[in-house]
Amino acid sequence: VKSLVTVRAIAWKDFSIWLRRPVAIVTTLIPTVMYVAVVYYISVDVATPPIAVVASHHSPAVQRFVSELRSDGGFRAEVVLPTAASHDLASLHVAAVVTVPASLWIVRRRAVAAGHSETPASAVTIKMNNLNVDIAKDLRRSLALTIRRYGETAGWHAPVAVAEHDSYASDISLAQYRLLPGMVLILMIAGVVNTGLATCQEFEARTFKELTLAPTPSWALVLGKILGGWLTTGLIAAFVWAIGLVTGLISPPLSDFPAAVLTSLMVGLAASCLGVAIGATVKQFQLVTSLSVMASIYLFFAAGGVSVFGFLPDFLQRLSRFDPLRYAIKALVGSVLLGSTTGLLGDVAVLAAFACAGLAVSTLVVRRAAVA
Amino acid sequence: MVAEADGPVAFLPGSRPQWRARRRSGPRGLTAELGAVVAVARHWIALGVRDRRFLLVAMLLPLNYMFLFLITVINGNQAPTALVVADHGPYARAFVRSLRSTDSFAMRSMDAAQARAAFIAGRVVARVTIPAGFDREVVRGHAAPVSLSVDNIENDFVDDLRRGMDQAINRFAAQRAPGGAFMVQQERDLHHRAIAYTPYVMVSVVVIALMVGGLFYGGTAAAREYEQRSIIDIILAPRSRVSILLGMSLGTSIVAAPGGLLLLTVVAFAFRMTAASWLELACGCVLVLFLYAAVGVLLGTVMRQRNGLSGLAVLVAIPMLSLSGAFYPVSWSSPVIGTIASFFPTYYANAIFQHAFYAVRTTPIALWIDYVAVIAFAVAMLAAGTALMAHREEAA
Repeated sequence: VKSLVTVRAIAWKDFSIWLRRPVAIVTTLIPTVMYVAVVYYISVDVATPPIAVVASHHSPAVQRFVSELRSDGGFRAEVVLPTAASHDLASLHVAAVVTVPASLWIVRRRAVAAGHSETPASAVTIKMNNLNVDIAKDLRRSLALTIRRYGETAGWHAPVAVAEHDSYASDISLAQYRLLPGMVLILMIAGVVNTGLATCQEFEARTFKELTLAPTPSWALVLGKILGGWLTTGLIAAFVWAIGLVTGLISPPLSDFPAAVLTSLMVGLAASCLGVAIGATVKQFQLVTSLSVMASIYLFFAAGGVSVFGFLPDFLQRLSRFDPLRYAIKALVGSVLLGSTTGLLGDVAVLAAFACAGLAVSTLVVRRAAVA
Repeated sequence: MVAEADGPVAFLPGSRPQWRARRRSGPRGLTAELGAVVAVARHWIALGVRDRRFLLVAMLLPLNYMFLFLITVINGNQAPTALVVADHGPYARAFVRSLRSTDSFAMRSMDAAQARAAFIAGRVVARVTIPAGFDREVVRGHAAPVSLSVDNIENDFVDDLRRGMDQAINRFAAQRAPGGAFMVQQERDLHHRAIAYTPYVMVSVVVIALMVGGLFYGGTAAAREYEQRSIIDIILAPRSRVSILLGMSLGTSIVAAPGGLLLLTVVAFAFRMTAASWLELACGCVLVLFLYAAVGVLLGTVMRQRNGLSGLAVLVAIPMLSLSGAFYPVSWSSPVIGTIASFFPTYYANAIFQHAFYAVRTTPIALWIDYVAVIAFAVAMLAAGTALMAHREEAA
C-alpha cells in the first residue's frame, strides 16, 4: 500500500507538471489538429488532377464522353477552347489536355452499331504534363476507365470481364484509413517524449537521488513515472478521439468503441514504458528528445503507418513482426473501420508484453543508477 | 538543468533605462553590427561543436528523415499483386503483358494456394486470377472472365487498381483481341521523359529534411539560451536585435550545413540524382538552410523551452511534405490546398529544388518569384524574432 501511495504521488506530480506547461501541451496538440486537417483535405483532393477538355464538336456523344470524364472521379474536367487549354497546360493549371475528335468517333460508333468490327478505333488524344511517372500513370488509367465505360454505354463489349471480390463490404476512404495510424503516431510521440523527458529531468535536476533514497522499491518509482506519462497520453488520446468523432472521420459502432479505447490506452501505456526506458537510459534532455521522436517515427513507418501494410517491402513486413505499432494499427483499424475484433486480444497482448518489457528494462536501469 | 522559463523576460536584471543605456553603449555603425553577427554566429557554432553528441544527432537527423520517407515511396505506386495464370495460351499471355505494361501492379506469379496465403496474410494487396479457358472465351468473342480480389482497405490504391485493370483491358483489346478496341489513347507528353517516382519525391524529402534540421537545431539552441539564461548577456549586448538574430540564424545554418551536405551526397549516390544546375542547387541549399534556421530560432524564442520542440518539428514535417507538392504540383490540388500551401515556404523551396535538380517547374509562378518568396519568408522570420524580443523587453 505504501508503494502504491508513492506510485500515485509520482504519477500525479508528473501529470501536474505537464499540465502547468502550456507550451508543451500546445506543441503536442497543434500538430495533431494540423495532421487531421491535412489528411482530410488531401483525401478529398487526391488523384483527381484537373484537366482541360477540348471538344471540337458539341454532339450529344461528345457531351456524354465529357460527362463520363467528370463522373468517373478520375479528373476534374473543364471544357475550354484549344488556346486556353494550351495556356492552362503550360502554366500548370491543368495536368493534361484531352482532345475529343468528334467525327472519327461518330463513324466508329455507327460502324460498331452496324457490326463492322474491323473499323479503326477512334483516337482520343491526351497531351499531358508528364512531370513524374506517378501522375502520368494516374492520368492514363483514368482516361482508360472513361474510355471503357463510355464504350460499354455505346454498345462495345470489352474482351475481358473482371469479377471483383472485395475483402470488405465497402471501400474505406483514404482520410479514415490515414487518420487511425496518425492517431497511433501522435499517441506514441506524446507518450514517449513526455514520459522520457519527465524521467530524464529527474536526472538533470538531480532529484533522482532523492527519489532513490526514499524507502520505496525501484519498480514503484518506474511505475509512477509510467502512470504519469499514461495520464498525459490518455488526455491527448481523448482530444484526438474528440476531433475524429466531431469531424465524423471516425465513427466506430458503439459495440466496438471499448475495443478502440482499449487499444488507444494500450498504445499510451506502451509509449510511456518506452519513454521511461529511454529517459532512464539516456538521461540527457537533448538526446532523449531526439531519440524518443526518432524511435517513435521509425516504429510508425516500419509498421506501415503511412501506407497499406502490403505495400511495404518484404524485409520490412518481416521485421515489423517485432514492431508493437503494427499490432496497434491493426487493432485500431480493425475495431474502428472494419467492425472486427478478430485478433484484438492478441494485438493487445503484444502491446502489453511490450509495456512489460519497457517496465522491466526501466526498473533495471533505475536500480543500476541508484547503486551508482 | 531546465529552468522555469515562463513569464516574459522576468530574468532581465536592472531597470528598463539601464538596459537601454547598456544597449546604446559601445561602438555604432555597420562594421560593429557585422562584428556582432559574426560573434553570435561563432558563439553558436562553438556551442554546437562542443556538444558532440548533439552535433551528431543534428547531422543525422536529415538523413534519418530521408530513410523514413523513403519507406513510403520505395514501392512507388505499384500495388503488390499475386498473379495466378491457369491458362497459358497466347491471349492469356498477351493479357498478362498488358497488365504488366500498365505499370500499376507489382506482379508476383504464384500458384493459387500461394496467392491465397499471401493475400490473406496481407503480403499482397490484390490477387489476379486468369482462369483456364481464357483463350477459348476470347476466340469465341465472349468476354473472358478474370478474377480480381482486392484488399479494399483504402480506396485510393483500390481506385488505381481498378483503373489499371481497365487500362490493361483497353490495351489488350487494341493489340490482340479479335473485336479490337472501341477507342484508343494517343499520348503526347510535355517532357521528353517523366521523372521516376522516387527521385521526384526525394527532392521534397530533401527540402523537408533540411527544414527539420534547421528547426531542430535553431529551436533547441535558442530555447537553451533561455533555459540557461545566457540570453540575458546576448540581449543586453549593445547591438541591434536584428544583428543578434542574424548571427543566431547564421550560426544555426553553418552547424546544420554538414547534415544537409551529407544528405545531398547520399541522395546523389543512392538515387543517382544529378542536379541540372549545381549552382542553383547550392543557392537553394543556402537559402533553405538559412530560412529554416531563422524559423527555428524564432520557434525557440517563442517557446523558450526545449520541451516539445522536437515533437513539433517532426510532426510538422508530415503535413509539410504534402503541402510542398511532393507528389505533384500543388496547383493541381483544390484551390483551398493551393491557398494553404502558398502560406508555407516549403511550397516555394520545393519549386526551387525541383528546378535545380530536373529543370522543371512545379509552381505556376516564375522561378525568381520562388526565390523572392523564400527570401521574404526569411526576412519575415527575422523581423518577427526582432519584434518578439523587443516586445519582451518592453513587457518586462
